[in-house]
Amino acid sequence: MSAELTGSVDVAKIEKELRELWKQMAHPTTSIGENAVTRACVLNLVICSPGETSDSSVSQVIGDVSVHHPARTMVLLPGSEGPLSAWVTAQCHFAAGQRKQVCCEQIVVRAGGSEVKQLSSFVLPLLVPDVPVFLWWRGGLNQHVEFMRELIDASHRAIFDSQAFNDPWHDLKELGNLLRLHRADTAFSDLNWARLSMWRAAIAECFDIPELLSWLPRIEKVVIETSPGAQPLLLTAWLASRLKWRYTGKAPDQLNFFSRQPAFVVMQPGQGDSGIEAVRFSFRSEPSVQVAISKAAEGTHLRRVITMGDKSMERALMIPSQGTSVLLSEQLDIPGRVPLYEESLDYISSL
Amino acid sequence: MQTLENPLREGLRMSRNPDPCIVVIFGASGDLTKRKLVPALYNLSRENLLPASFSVVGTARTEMTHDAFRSGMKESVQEFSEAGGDAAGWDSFAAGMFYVATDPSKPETYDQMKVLLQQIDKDRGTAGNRLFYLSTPPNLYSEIIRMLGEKGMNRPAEGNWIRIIIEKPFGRDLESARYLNAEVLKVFHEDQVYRIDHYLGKETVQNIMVLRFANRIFEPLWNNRYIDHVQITSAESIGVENRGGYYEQAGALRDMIQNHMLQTLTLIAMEPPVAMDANAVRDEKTKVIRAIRDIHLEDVPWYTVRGQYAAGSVGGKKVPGYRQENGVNPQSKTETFAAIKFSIDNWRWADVPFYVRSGKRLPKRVTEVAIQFRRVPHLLFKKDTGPMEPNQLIVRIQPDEGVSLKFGSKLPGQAIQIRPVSMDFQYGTSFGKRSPEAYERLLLDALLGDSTLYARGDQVELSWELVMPILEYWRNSTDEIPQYESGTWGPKEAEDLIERDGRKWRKP
Repeated sequence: MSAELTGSVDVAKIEKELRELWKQMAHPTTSIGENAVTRACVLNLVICSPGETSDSSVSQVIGDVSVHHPARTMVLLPGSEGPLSAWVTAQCHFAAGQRKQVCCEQIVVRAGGSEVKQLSSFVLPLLVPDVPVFLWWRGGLNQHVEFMRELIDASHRAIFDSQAFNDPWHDLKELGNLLRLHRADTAFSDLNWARLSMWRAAIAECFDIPELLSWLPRIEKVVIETSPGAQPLLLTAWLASRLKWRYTGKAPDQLNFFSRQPAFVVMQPGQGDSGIEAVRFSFRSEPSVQVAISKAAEGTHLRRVITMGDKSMERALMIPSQGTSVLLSEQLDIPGRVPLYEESLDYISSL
Repeated sequence: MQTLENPLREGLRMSRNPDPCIVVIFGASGDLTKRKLVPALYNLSRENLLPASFSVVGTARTEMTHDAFRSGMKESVQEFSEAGGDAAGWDSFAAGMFYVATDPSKPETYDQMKVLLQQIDKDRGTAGNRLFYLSTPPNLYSEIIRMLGEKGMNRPAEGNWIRIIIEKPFGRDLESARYLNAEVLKVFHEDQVYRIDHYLGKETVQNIMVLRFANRIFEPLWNNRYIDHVQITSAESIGVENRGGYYEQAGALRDMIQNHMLQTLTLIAMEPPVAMDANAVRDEKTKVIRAIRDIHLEDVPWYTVRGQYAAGSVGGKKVPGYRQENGVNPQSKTETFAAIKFSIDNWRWADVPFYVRSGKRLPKRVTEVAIQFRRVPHLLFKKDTGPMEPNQLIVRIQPDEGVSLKFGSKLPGQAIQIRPVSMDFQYGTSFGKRSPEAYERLLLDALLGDSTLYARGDQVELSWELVMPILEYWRNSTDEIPQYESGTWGPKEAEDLIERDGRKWRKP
């Protein structure tokens, strides 16, 4: 069920429209109202899509996410043409095994031109009190900067996606600057960092083996097969910060580090276009020891092969779903900061 | 256990993965292995929660090849694992599965197992760590444990660990529980022993501790000044099905109350532990059991009720009585229903009765804890209000896991009319994600060396001590066991037990 607000739009009008919506839905004569309806809200989700004109690009994600995280969702479309306009909707689903529907509110606000400047004073009063605020910023870091910072200030967590960054080296540093400005009050996370979780877990797991763990300081070369993007830089920053490597410079497609000995991270072009495809480790003075993790052809598993002399251990590791709904849902699960991500961003800023 | 920390592990979902190890399942041809254990391990593998180097060795008396074992377990996983058995994931998991036949009466079979385990350590890097799981009939426990000791498979090498999980029932009475504990402790240290109670692995049972100790608002009310009584109910709508032979030796008291329900009671009644480590939590739970007032032989009829289901109707279907079930003696006196009034003699719970009941062929399947608060001291709203119901906090363990709080609210209108309303939290609607199965949680905890959710030896013996007079009285009683019609909430005597205190059983 939905309602579009016409004429002048203000906060009171939107709240009134939401109350009407709930009344209609609870009424037994409506098709929805035949079954009991529960309004659920455990958080505020503010999705900002600068330059877009409708919520169609995120409506599926909102529907998927609301099953696990019933929320008041606000979709903000700054930079659209036309006067300030808004509409309210309820997203409902049946809870498993129940006749009851669980419904969440969605407010879409479109603003263009000078009205973007007033958008935050319109949006912020609509946040449901006493529950956390999550911001998903889908635009570039140089779009509507002031508005973006106001939203970050109001949020418990700001979620970005560095996969969309055109210039990862520059944009990740910019993100690091933003983090430093807002660190005190807002946690930062990145859907692209979430995509890297399986790689980080697979790499970490290799070094759970006691023999290999003792060889961590002897990593000489890491080869990352990848398509262009932010992922290899994030993964490198994670490794370097965890292993306390000092950055010493770069060459084409290579980053140089130093711990007790030099170490290199080499980026090689992969076959596909969906980020990292393989990571290989080799160790100083141990040519017979190799660790290789690669995406299987069918894309459902990572294949991890550890070779130590004539012994080889293989394991298939499930690749969890990488859909946007799943990744976003995971971010909404995180109660506090993501220290490793922040540490990696700080490391990139220092490069 | 490795002494170096893996810096790459920090910040990941599992801040600590289990150490490389082998899980050895005794009784691998049995039902529990197929339905619960291997599917749980497989689910953990799919969630990438198992260690880098991991193997499963199944063992039983039956001779079988590795491939035959793998093939049988694949069918089980396809049937009982939510994840099913995807090809690459299964192949990787199955590559670490092996089988060896052992017989405690044939020591050489244990030598063969030892050789296999050492070979797996060498080939797969499982580093000498072992988790033995006793999933056999209880009468084999002592022999297996003794044999593990004789073959030196009980004491880990420096830097390694060896643990043993023992399935319930842990003894069938106090004497057998003490005997089994003694046998186990001749071979293993207490901190190597994990006595499983799968109720403790249930998400909502764990949530009892979170509810109590992560929220400030409940603790000030959690005592005899505000709580009138507590009801703990575990109801099943099914009968004994094809387990009549086992159930004849057990009964509701041994099967449910001595273990699961007493463990649940301790979680409700315990003091906040000083830390969330295994012994701190289990110390507090043990204190509760010690504080439960003994029910002496002569008091059994006053504080306990037993019953046996007769023919009736459940879920719209006619069902036979217990004595007509397969494997059941037609003159059986085994109880399929038991209700007990416990009293806890400490400052927090003095004069707050804990009514515990469990039964088969009750109207519905439900397990819950209902905490009923005292009524208001002075009723302001007398006229036109209808009867005032006391506040209740209900923790639903299964199904529809969640918590609800019942309180009075004014009906809209001119007059003050009060009706009870429920404020509900349900796992399914609030989080919408799969809770891990109890065995997944418990197995992972054992692999991580966390025994918080496992019963300690002293707890088990104290629980048996508590129920022994009841078992003895019932065994020797010449009274006919009260019958209750299937589909009802138990015998009339159970109603009397609570109603003579001026209270009523909840109908969940």
